[in-house]
Amino acid sequence: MEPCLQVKNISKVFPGVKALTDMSIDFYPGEAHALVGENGAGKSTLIKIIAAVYTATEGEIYLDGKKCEFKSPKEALDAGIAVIQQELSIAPDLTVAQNMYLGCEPHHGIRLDYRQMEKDAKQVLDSMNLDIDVKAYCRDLNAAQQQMVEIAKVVAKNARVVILDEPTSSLSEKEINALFDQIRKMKADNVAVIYVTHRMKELFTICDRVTIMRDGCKVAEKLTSESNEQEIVASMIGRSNLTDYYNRHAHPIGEEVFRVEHLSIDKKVEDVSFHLNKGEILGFYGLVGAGRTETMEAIFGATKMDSGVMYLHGNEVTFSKPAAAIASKVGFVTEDRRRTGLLLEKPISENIGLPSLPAHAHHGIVNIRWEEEISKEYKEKLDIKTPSISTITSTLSGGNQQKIILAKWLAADSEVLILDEPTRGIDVNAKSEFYALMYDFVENGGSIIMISSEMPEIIGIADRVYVMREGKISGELMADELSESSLIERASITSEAASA
Amino acid sequence: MNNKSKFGSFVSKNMILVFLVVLCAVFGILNHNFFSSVNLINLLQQMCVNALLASGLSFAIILGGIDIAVGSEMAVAGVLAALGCKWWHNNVHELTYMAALLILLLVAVICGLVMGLVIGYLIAFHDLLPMICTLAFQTIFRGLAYIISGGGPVTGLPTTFALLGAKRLFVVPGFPNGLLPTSVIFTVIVVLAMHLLLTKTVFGRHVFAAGSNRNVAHLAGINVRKVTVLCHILCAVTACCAGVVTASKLQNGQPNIGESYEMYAIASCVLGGTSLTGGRGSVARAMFGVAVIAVINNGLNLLNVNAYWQKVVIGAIIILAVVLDMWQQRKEKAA
Repeated sequence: MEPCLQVKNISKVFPGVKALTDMSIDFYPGEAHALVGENGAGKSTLIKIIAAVYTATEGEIYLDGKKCEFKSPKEALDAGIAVIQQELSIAPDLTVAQNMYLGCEPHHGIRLDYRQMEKDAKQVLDSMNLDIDVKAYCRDLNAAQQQMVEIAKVVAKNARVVILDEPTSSLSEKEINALFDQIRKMKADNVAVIYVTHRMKELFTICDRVTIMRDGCKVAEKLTSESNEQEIVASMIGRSNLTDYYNRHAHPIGEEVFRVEHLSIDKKVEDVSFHLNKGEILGFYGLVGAGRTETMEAIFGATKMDSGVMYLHGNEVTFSKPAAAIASKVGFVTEDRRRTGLLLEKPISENIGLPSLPAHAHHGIVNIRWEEEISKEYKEKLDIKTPSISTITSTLSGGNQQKIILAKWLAADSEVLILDEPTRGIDVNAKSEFYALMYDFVENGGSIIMISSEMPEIIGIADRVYVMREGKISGELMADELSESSLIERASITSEAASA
Repeated sequence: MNNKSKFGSFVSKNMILVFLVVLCAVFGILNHNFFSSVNLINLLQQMCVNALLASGLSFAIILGGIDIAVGSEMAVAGVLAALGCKWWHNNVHELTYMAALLILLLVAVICGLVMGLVIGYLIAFHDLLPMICTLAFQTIFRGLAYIISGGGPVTGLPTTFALLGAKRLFVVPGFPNGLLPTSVIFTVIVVLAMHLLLTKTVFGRHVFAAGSNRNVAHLAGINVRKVTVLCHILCAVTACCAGVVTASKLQNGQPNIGESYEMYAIASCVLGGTSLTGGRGSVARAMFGVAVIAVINNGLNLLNVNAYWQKVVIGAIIILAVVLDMWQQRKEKAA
């Protein structure tokens, strides 16, 4: 079989950094080809070169044997190379049909042909077996439906090469299966799928071939049928010992530190009660939309709860605003680094110091020396890889950004940490490091509530787990009761999904 | 080598300063009066009002908002200051310099406090868009200024009223009116205070945090609403300071002062690199913007360019400067 897209000897040099070195990969039609590697391995750079966002310093790209010389992403798209970004690029105030044909609207002269557009859009959606109204505004769709619109957009353009950049990071199990069905359809239509992921399970479910990258180089290319998870992860991180990946080990668990009773939020959360013990890593599992994040936001005082009582160290507390929670030494690492976690355009030190500024100020003057010292301290302790603490935060990798958010709450002397999807979008190595930091924290007297949608993670590290379903707690599991089936059974809405 | 690259990076980070120097050089060559001490003192004095406006407006803009009512706020404060001084002079005691200073400052602070509080409250607690909210107050405050003044200027003030606007200190040979305008001293004090407030205090840091990402700021325990109200109060107080300085300079309280001054103040902030989307900016650099606009005005005056053309030239130069700045930033990002 002839490859439809060939990347030949690509190198990319940014000032001061060599992002890609002599990269050659062949992509075949009808095949899903996974690109895996730690953050910073060069996956994004490679994708951007294929999609003509960047131009390669050296090397060539061939589409059907013809050399590509695209000057803009638009030209690449017209030639049939489409990218589905990690962050959705749907315009919320346009309809499904308008989004699908954005930039290539059917028209007669200057008059848009909406009827044609909607007809075509419906045809595409029908062919994908999707029940989405083409006239619906995208802001009214949920995350999974929006993702499907993104895919429909690509299908509508008859793309020959489709690149998916971590498409499942905000989808639930069931939605992922729906996505995989679409990918299988694309494969059947002889589309070459390039699939960037951090999740091993997905890789083996949907991909035929995998290229492992490390430090801008291709380390290995394998058929997934002839490989296994251990082998791939080992070559990704460049070491063979994986037994201590989650690093689970016994650690003392003490008295109750925090208790929530009968927490309700209108239409979102109903009568949630749970407790957290000292030194415990308490997991919260559930599908996206089960109300876990809403519960934690209300506890932290970021949003209002309609009813509910909280006890910290046995005393009743109310956090009417985040400042009150912070004063009681509660910290909240949110699920979305960019939107709610970091001041991306500010230096690292300003992010780390942010919640603690008032506590360390003298007469309202910022204590810059304290801020620098604490930032340097946590840069060392958490091994944040940065040239300096005054580096602008947006320039760091996801794993390092996540460490900065953690550092910010450690610097605020937090005793109870709420972590919402703490390892989302960070690479294997960074995850492992992050788990070790979580253990450090609980062994030094802290307690953690961790929301996670990744089952291996919940099973791998939580001491006890609450499962939420449609705004209610649907189960409590001890560490020895944790398994994929016990979690799914309590999280899923229908019995059909439970057996899937 | 190292020194040279340091100098290079300083220049590239402060293009607006380079631009200012070039402008001065051009005007200096075209008209030898430009660098005369009389003209330079004039120039400083001409900068005061815009400098005051831009210093407070920086807070509102860095927060991600705006206040386009500053010109009208000026008028209210100017009229009230004139009325206050006149009343004191006629009913209490002859207006001394000390009394004039106290009344002017008191009016500026109280007036700014009230107007800023109203604007800030509506924006912070009722989620009004800053642009729309202050657009409304632009006409409300302008109307109030006319109502309070009775439609025309408040006149008949003693010469001591000119303390903050027209008076100059240090009479030396060659300068019978004095060397240093009090308005310049006053402006320097206010601007310096605003600069320190923004760069050194927790409050200042919170302004940047809320301006670059409200959610992150809120979750870090920052009371974003309080910060918003405070920023608008600061903005209005500095605008009122500009108002009393202007009234004092004119020796009467005119309800029509400050019209379209908000545009010059916004332009100054932008020239100084303040981002209209919030999160980025500096009071000190806004002063370079103030200087650029003042120099252009002053230089064109010296060259006898007609006032209408001056408006056109100023607008064009603002665009040029901003384009240069964006070009520079893009180069930095690429590097």
